Amino acid sequence: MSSRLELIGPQGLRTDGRRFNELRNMNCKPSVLSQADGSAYIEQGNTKCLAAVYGPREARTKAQVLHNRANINVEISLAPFSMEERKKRSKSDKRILEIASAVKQTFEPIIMTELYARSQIDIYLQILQFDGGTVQICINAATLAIIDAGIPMKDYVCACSAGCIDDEPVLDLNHLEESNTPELTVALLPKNDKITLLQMESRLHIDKFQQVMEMAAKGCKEIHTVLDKAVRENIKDLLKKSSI
Amino acid sequence: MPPALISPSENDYILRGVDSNIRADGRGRLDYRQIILETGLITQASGSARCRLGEGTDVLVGIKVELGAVELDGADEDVAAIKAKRGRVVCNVECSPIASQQFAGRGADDFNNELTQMLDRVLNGPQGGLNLEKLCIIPGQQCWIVYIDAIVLDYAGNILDTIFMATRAALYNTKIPKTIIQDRGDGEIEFDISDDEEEWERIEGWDKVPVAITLNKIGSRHIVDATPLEELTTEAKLLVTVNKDGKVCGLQKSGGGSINPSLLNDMVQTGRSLGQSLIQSLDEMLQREENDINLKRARKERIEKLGFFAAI
Amino acid sequence: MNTKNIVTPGQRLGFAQDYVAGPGTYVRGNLLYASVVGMKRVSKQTAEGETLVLTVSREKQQSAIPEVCSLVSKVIRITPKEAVVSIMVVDNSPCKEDFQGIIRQQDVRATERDKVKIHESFRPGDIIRAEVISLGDARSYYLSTAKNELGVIYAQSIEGAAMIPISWQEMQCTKTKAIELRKCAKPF
Repeated sequence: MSSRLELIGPQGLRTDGRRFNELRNMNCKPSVLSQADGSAYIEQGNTKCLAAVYGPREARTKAQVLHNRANINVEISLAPFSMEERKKRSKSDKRILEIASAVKQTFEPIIMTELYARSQIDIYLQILQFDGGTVQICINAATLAIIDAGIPMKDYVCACSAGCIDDEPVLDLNHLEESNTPELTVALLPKNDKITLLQMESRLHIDKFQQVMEMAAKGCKEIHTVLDKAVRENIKDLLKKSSI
Repeated sequence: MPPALISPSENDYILRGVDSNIRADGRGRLDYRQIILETGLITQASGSARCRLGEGTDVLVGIKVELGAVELDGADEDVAAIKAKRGRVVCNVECSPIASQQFAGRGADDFNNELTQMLDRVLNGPQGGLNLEKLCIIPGQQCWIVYIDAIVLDYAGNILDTIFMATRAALYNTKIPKTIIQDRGDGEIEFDISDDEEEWERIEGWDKVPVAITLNKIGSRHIVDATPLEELTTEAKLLVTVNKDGKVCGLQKSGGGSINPSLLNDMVQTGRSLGQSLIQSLDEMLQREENDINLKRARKERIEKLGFFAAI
Repeated sequence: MNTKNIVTPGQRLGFAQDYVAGPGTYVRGNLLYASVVGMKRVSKQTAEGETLVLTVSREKQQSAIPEVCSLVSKVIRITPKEAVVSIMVVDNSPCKEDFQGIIRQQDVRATERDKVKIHESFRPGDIIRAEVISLGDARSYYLSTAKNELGVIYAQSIEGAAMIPISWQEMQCTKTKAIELRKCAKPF
């Protein structure tokens, strides 16, 4: 697979100066909003996302009531200025709905929904700036916000993408890379390596798949360490404040 | 989602507080919460700013400047002649469900529309301050379109004032690339857009853009920068838009109650003087931020942005 | 403050046979894991051979939960047979979220129980002191005001002004001097 664009420089560095197996710079902070029950802000490179979680609370409409567990509702909105070209996207944009549904399906088995029968959990995601890896940032942000809301879940869910440039597996693609190479997004439970989401939308040789997959899984583990650190810092702050 | 409710006791508490010039968070009637203003957060946009009021309301404005055709259709000749020489400003305000459960689903559509219209009316009118003629590149053909998109990220009352503050700062931050116009003779005009990142212009007249002050009438008094609970207690609202010369650029009364003419006069005067001092402190904030960046750039230090939520 | 006790979701806490899984934890296989972020706590052993309960929570203390004791609550709605209240304070400690309680017609006062009319005893919005007499059904606690020191402690008249008790079953509006009927609590 050779790409038209030079995605790897002569020194073996990528367009943004990273190595093959390097994640983008990642920043995250839970508990950032005043109204939501749980919230988080996260940035991975130039992709920035805010997440808010409301609930568990009474279901808004009768149709949404599930008698044995909580209903999870995911809504994603994209800021009009987040992309290269200004584009106002409606909430019913097919691509956005698909991502929302992927996020919902990822969290359904992980959140202990059976504890909150007949209620509803809302996850709202707002993408402020876009530079590739929408699915992964949505999942990571949602994980942080759910933990912040104190909703019981079996484990963290961490997502990461990986791709293949010139037969070499690379980690955490940015927008330029993801539009020119096959991209694989994986979400897994870092404690027992179970995969809860896997997406690939282009052609990749089966022999390469294993390597790319391992790369992505490694990325998820790294992301887990970052998220875990942020959560622990936050709870320490919280306990310090409440002990005064 | 039904609108929030307030109990008679809470109502009473706020009313008495306002009457004795001390509010639940310790402010006086005419005090604003602490304002945090920051520009240049979104790299993909031509200009951006975020404004946060106290621990609550948070608005992010992103501005994109794009080339477009001059819009002529649908207007009569006189209007068309004016329009042909102008660029355009397109506003859009969105309340994200992140900010409050009220905005989920279609719940915010009406409110979004109301806010959008309000912003649009001020910025596209002659009182908006922006020199729209400067945004025109080739009269009747090409112009810059300034897309102003505001997102409400967190809600703790007084959204409109915050949107105006953030918009003003974002306009200050907006960079329009320089254009070079070449007249080829026989009526054909060509233009080039400079590739040089250092060659840019500010939107002329950004400093004349007014800010909005929402005055809430509670009991027989009025307050500024209301919290959500205070907004529920409010009988009538008066929106005063003021520019830096202290000129009133617009008034709009909303809400169920009525305002006494003498109180109205009082409220407009308060709005005017508060607006002027607010603009002054906002300009100082922007200047300070810019000086800081320039200083760091001169020393070749890393320019670190506060980031979205570092300031909390 | 011991930061070592902070656990995050998915963290292994111990073997399932050693502890009973309390709130904030779950069992998978024969291991116990945390499901929320917070402090790990083990219950104190009270009886010999009793299995310890392991819980994870971020609060310093659990919310007050109604038990058989006195409490303060607010009347939500009334029907001819009962008054529905929301319990706000239990034994001087406020509840994190309100619990629902019911005061039945026969539990309003100790004497002449058959003549009690709910609307002559409570009105929606009244703040009352009551005690729990039983944990009731699945939805609400059963409360009683059948003691001298129990009953309405704060009420507003139709006019919206506060009222003061003038006898054990009457209150007077401070503004209009109108008298309304209530089952008042005897001031301490």
